[in-house]
Amino acid sequence: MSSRFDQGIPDGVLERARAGDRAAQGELFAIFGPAVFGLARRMLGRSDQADDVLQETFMEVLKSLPQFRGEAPLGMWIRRIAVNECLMHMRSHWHRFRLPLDTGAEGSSVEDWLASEDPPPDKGVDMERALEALSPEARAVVWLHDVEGYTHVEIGRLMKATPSFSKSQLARAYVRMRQWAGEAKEVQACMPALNN
Amino acid sequence: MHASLEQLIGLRDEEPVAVEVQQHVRRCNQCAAALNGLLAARERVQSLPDLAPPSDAWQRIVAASERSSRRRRWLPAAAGLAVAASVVGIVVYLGPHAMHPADNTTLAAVPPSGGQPADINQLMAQSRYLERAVYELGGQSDSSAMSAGTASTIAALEDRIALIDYEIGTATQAPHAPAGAHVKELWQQRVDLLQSLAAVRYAQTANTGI
Repeated sequence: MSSRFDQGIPDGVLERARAGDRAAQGELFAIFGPAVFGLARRMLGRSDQADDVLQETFMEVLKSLPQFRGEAPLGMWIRRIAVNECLMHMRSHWHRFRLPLDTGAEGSSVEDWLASEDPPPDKGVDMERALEALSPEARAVVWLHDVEGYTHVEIGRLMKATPSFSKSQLARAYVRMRQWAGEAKEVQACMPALNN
Repeated sequence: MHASLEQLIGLRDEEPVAVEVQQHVRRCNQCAAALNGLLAARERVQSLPDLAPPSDAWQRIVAASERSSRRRRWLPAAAGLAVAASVVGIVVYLGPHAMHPADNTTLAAVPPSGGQPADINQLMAQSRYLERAVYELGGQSDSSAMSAGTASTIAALEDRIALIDYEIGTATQAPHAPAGAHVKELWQQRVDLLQSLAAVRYAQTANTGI
């Protein structure tokens, strides 16, 4: 699985960007901006917060680019900054007031999984909404693990928790998303009846 | 006994899972169905489309970055002057509304740091004063005329202030309270953030012509 930050950079762009060339920095933004915005939007569940993270991440990138030594690929370095910014937003006192907290009440057994109906395979938009219905922690774990390829150990370290926390969040998240998709389908099925 | 969902996710992700669990999943239709469902669900999450950032995002980042680097260049030398200037600017703008009659805090009672480290009481007074100014400016601004960028900048600053408040509360209530220098540093950060917030509110109010 390749991360959305795993992108090639045209020759010379990094050097020019490091030297302060705005056009080259703009090229880096064009390459990595959607990945940062997408990561933040999926982790935080809100476009305005994702916009904040995008701005804070690239301000940090522009400030620190001269010190970037290239020990890791640039995209992975940017991703690390973006993930840290997202986690800072998640820990923010006010942010926690605005978002539902994980109650830990959802089940995560095979029976829970099978008790809910299979969502239609082509429901990309519904999957987006199902992600939004998760707690911030669960959403972050799903995105970091299943899309960005972080291990449970890495996620545990980032979220100041154990790898088991990451595993159980992931399992519960999938049950919850499946239940959500099933509920959404039921609501859709009821719509014609309500219209009659 | 079925496999747990964590074990099925481990199998899905090709992580080490006990041999007996693997054997059970091969024989059990329910576990195999759940594993297939998990594979399909991961595929659906992975295939969610990329999201384009707002079209003006890069321009805002460049502008904010230039403001920030200008600040980094001259702020350390002129920190006290900046505090004074922004407070005076707000007072001039707000005029008689700047002070609540019941509030005894005056500009004279809030000496700017003037390049010298302020003590904690000064920082708390500056903080109170700036907070009132921010409140007054917020009451006069038209939030419906606010750009998304300004709104998110204000929200981010308010978030950071809330975080600092939380840290101040934690630091001062802890049984082994940390050194005063740490708490003072937190108050200094609060004053800096309130100054930025006041500046954004002031610019927003001025731009909307109120």
